[in-house]
Amino acid sequence: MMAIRAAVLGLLAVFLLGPVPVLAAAAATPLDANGWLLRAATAARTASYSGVYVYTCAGITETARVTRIRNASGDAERIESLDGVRREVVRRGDEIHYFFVDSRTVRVDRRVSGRSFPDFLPQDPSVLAAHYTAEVGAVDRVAGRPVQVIRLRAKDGSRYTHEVWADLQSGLPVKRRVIDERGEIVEQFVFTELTVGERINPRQAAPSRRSGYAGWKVENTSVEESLPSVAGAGPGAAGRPLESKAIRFPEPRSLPPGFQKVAQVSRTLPGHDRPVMQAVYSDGMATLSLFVDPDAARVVGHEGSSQRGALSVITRSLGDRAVIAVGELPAATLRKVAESVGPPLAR
Amino acid sequence: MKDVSALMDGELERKRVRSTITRLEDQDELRDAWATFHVIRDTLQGNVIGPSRFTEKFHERLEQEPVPVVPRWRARLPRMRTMVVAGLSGVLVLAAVAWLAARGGLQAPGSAAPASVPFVDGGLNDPVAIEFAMAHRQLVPAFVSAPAAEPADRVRPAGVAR
Repeated sequence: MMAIRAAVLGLLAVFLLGPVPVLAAAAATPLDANGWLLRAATAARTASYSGVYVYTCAGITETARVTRIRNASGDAERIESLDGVRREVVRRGDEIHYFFVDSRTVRVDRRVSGRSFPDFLPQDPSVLAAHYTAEVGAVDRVAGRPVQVIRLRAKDGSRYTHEVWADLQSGLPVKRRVIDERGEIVEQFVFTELTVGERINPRQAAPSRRSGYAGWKVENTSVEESLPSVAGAGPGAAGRPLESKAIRFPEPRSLPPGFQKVAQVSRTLPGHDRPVMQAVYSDGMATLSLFVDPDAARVVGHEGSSQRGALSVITRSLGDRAVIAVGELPAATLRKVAESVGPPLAR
Repeated sequence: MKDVSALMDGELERKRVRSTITRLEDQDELRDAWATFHVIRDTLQGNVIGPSRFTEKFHERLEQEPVPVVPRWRARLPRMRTMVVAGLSGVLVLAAVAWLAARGGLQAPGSAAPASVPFVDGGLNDPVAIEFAMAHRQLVPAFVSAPAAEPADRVRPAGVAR
């Protein structure tokens, strides 16, 4: 019925508007699920946008205003919390300014890494096909805009199902849901208002305070270099040894199907002397970090599982070490992974 | 029935805890803890990668805590309440706040009521779990979805083709 109506409208448009509908017809070419995911992923990486989104999980509701500008002069972003403590984050390239309005403090830092809503899809979503069934859902409406629902249904219970609402016009993901095996919502991001395109005033990605920041306390932490040394272990990555004196990473005997190691690092977490080992595994959508901490004492009294939104954490001690599994996966999946590590390898 | 009972229990306790928190509101440390807590939430949510200094500060504070610093996993609410009443310092308040917020029991000043959507319950309240969760979030996204065409991220695995 809708198809017929669309066809009729299309024909009408051809007669009424001449050459313009050719473009419209091209835009209306039905995309398959992977086509939509690719479009959404690309838009999230390249579009400029400004809007307000709401994050919800387990009874928490948080609202933030986000503006992201991509143009010839670079990539700038501003995120402002609309509830709780007033905080504002302005990023320009790699430099982050973190403003706390209430305490009149600004902290300057370097971005370590980071992708966030609405930029969360892999660059090539076709890699997801092995473990998720991609389906095109209904056309819906979010933030006053027509959107296409795309579902990435988990093929097994070891991972979550993801739903994406992509803006029909721009392709930008405007809503995201993570759903567990029972069909319950684990977490959700949704824009409640959104502008996409080049018309956004770049000032919106600049610090909001017009009167300046005189008298503000500045804490510059950007000289701090707490980054891990990284050894690539991803497919095709040449990589280099973790460290010449490194301990071999105790590989888990059990990983959810399709999870491949994409990185392995030795890093010193803030406030600690001894580095921990971290291996990162991914199925393209969800990631899992497995930490091996040489100091088992750190987790004594903290063993167990915890969850926040889609993120679960499992902590256990393993002889004189601690094993911590963290990831956007059900706790039961992470528990299996954490329990499959060990016995500890000789140093 | 069990769920209903648990919910009732939570509701009752929540009110008591809220009044306790209100009494603590004037204390600087609570404000500080609350701010730190928000940074942690932002990071975990992926809103932004919080300044690394924050994790450090958080950790320093954690180190200063008497042991045991927080209730064990799945701590019962009454025990948490007792600890809040005891007026213990920063991290405990932080843990309490985090725990309460995760239960939907405490809102940021001036924020809206929790949504009445049937979201899965959960709570990330253990400082060690939070520390590693943040470490995970700080590192992971660049590996997984950074397109090769983008400028090199400083944590990109060595040897990855640009």
